[in-house]
Amino acid sequence: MRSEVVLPGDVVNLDKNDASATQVIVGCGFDHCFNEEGDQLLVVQPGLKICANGKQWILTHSRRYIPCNGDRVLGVVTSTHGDAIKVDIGSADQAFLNFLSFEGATKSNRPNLKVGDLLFASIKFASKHLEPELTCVDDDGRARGLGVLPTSGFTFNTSLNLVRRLLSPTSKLLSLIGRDLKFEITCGLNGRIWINGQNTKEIIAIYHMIQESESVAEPDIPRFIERKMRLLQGFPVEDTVVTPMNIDP
Amino acid sequence: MNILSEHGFRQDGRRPNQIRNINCKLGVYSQADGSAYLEQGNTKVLCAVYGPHDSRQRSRIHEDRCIINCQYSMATFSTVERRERPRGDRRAVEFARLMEKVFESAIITTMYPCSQIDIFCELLQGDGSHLATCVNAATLALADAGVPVYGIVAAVSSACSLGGVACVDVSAREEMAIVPRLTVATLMNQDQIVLIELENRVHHQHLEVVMKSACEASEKVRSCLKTAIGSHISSALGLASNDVNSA
Repeated sequence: MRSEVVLPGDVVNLDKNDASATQVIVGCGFDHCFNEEGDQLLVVQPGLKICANGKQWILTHSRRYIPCNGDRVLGVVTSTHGDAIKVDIGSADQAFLNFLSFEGATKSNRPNLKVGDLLFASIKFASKHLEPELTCVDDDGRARGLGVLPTSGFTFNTSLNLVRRLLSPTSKLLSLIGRDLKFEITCGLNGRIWINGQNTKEIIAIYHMIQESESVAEPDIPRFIERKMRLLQGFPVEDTVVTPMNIDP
Repeated sequence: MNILSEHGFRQDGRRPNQIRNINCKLGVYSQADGSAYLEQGNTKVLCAVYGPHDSRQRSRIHEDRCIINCQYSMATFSTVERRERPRGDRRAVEFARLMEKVFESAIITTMYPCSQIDIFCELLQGDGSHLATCVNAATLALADAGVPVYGIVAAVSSACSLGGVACVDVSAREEMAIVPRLTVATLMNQDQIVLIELENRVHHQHLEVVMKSACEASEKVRSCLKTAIGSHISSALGLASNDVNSA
């Protein structure tokens, strides 16, 4: 896996180094092939170009969400009239959701939804020409964690890159927080995060840890969490452990 | 009045092909999708980008591409004399339309049909080259927002002195001399021009010299913008400096 920072307007070569891959998969952040041979790509978004296992894509820093098929997003119900439920997922268009897309929902057994409810849903169909369609069940009709979230807790917006970092299996942030604090968290790929803890003070502390960890490099996360935990428990913080990547409150 | 002294220096001590200092900061607003603050010399601009979002004006929706909405405003304290009307005058509307044309060429608008991208520019302090600085600030804000663009737009202004020598990055004192002024914005490299604006009269033989000098100066501005975007991307993604080599 190789990575480098690229900027819009750069022309990069198609990565064909992986001999085991029969075809190269080009992800987001690139435009069409640039020359006649078709082995060059135009970078259209600033970010980190990653090449791994026959795929290449650009990891960008963005706050506006573009719907993709299969993404799990957090949305706010904005309208419950009729059969279609309008949900705001922070994209250019509002998403809609059929009331039968909940677990165990029938025409006589409707889900109890109100305007302002928080939904964790999966995007069933997303196109740039149509409004995205959501669903709260999988193909077998099971919810598997999707549906209406509880009314307690705290919801905030982050950048899309931070949510992808939290959901990455290599990220240690949530497990390090969970070592000392009990909390629930739901990360939507549209940059919205819902957290719930045992009391308000811990919820606020978790919120600040997640928000400020965006500019902390991954090897510095353990020291960052240790510092935040000491602040939360009222212990003095030793200034010698501060690295330039850390955020000073 | 000649803006170039007999020894070849300008009033602020620059050479004719020298641009002013560029300072910038990306991500200054947390509620905007992208934002940037840019200084070119003493010209200071704040820019915020929202979108792509739902378009509220249904009559302006395009079904095959998104629309670009630009607003240019000068703060009441931004010039020597206090302005009573920060936006909406003829010059501000003209600048806004010019910026819309620039970014319709730069942004890949076909990726977001039926939506809208808003770009708001606020001039905090004016010291010449207002349009060029606003275009550069909007480019930084679009990069912060992650909007797909074909390249980095770099804008610069250029003036023609009495002897036909081109002076780039015009300041306010040089603008008061009523010299021919040209604002050029280039995309990806200096051969792709997305904006040309000429004020006052110029001889056609001098126009080529001024245009060539402005395109070369835009490459210097673009390298400054690239450095700023690259360092912002590295810090925003939480990359340690030894992990990544910048392109």
